[in-house]
Amino acid sequence: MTVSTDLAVTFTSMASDIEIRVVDPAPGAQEALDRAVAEIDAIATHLTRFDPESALSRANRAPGAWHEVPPVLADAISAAHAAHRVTQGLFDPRVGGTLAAWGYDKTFDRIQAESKGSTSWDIEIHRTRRGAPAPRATWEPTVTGTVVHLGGIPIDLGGIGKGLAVRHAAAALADAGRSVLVDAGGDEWLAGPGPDGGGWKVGVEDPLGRDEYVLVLAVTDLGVATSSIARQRWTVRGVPVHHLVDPRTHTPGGAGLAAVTVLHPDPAWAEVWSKTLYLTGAAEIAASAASLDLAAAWVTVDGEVGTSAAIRPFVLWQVTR
Amino acid sequence: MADPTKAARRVAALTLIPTSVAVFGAGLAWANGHDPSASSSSGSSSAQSPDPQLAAAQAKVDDAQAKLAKLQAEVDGRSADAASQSDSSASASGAATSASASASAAATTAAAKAATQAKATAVAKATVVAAPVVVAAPAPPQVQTVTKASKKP
Repeated sequence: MTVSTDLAVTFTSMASDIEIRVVDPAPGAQEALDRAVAEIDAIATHLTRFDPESALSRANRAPGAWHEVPPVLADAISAAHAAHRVTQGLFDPRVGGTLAAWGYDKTFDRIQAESKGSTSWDIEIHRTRRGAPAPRATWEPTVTGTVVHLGGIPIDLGGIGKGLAVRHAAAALADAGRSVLVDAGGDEWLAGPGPDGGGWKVGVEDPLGRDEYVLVLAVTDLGVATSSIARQRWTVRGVPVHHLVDPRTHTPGGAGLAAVTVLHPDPAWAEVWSKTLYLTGAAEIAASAASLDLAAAWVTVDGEVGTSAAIRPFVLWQVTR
Repeated sequence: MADPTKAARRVAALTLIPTSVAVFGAGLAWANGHDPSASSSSGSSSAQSPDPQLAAAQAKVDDAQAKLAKLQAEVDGRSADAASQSDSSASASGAATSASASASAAATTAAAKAATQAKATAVAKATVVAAPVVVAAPAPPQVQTVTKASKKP
């Protein structure tokens, strides 16, 4: 971990480069920053499914039993359940089983290392799903204080974990300074007018790598999240797959889309909506974003950039193609 | 073996060379001493009749003036081209017009032709200058952070 004099900290957690930055720090800002780091560490420690001794892994080993879990995990299960309900099941933590069946049962860095660093690779399949997917009932976990019941099926909180980490860190930094940035590898919280005023200038990465950015946004007091298949793609017995699984079909979702970015007052919901909108696919995302009044931008696999009406006031610059 | 007859002809021919030079020199001396523009005080009819050498010289002068006019027109035409490259089509046309005026002053067909060519060139170049210019897309503003694909869900 490195700490600079301008009250900024960078470290690695959740397999991502984390950055927290406080502009014009107020008294007590350092303590607030320390609390924010601790909140992120707690999420990373208890919500990972890649550590067999994490609280989530222990609960997943007996998903039909009751478990006493750390508060941060109980809170995460409640948040994931809320997302599942609001998105009418499109956000579903139970897709972790499908990812594991595709070999994604270890960190992506390990998968890449074992595939000799290529960007597309074949993996050893530990378990192979056979037959058509069975219809799933609505996910109904139970959370009573810190006692939880997963509803009988193991879950993966990767679809909301980093958003929750940013949410908790942002709360800890609420009064830390004039402007605050929390960046958890693309999932971000941007508070205040930013270093130069007029909002934080946020580049939206081009998922196809043709340009540096596809958009530049000016953001104040909002969370930003991007769901993209730019990196997490691989092949299973020659079939290309990625990590954004459609729970309706148990197949890679988001036909025709390469990436979706969403602005939302809550960083966790920004992440939930970016994944959910991604799963609607290129043909429906514009209508979905409009009906939900979401501030969203997306890039198709052909490189076309789309924006919802709600995000356009935040757009400073858009790539010309 | 030398041919005595051929040697005699060669000597005779060589003797003719200084003779020809002497005659030519005498002609030059006469021409230098003779003022073709001087009128005869006697007003004789011989003074009114055209002098063949004077006519030849005048022809040379006329030819030289025509060449000068042609060259001047070409210079003016090139000046018009240069003006058209830095100025608008209107100024280029003006330069061409100037070239045309100079050519007219020279009163030669060659000048007029050169001016016409200069004008045509100027207009053509003005057309190139007026062609639409592809404007590069503006660069993105400086960003302070980037939202991107994560390494891990």
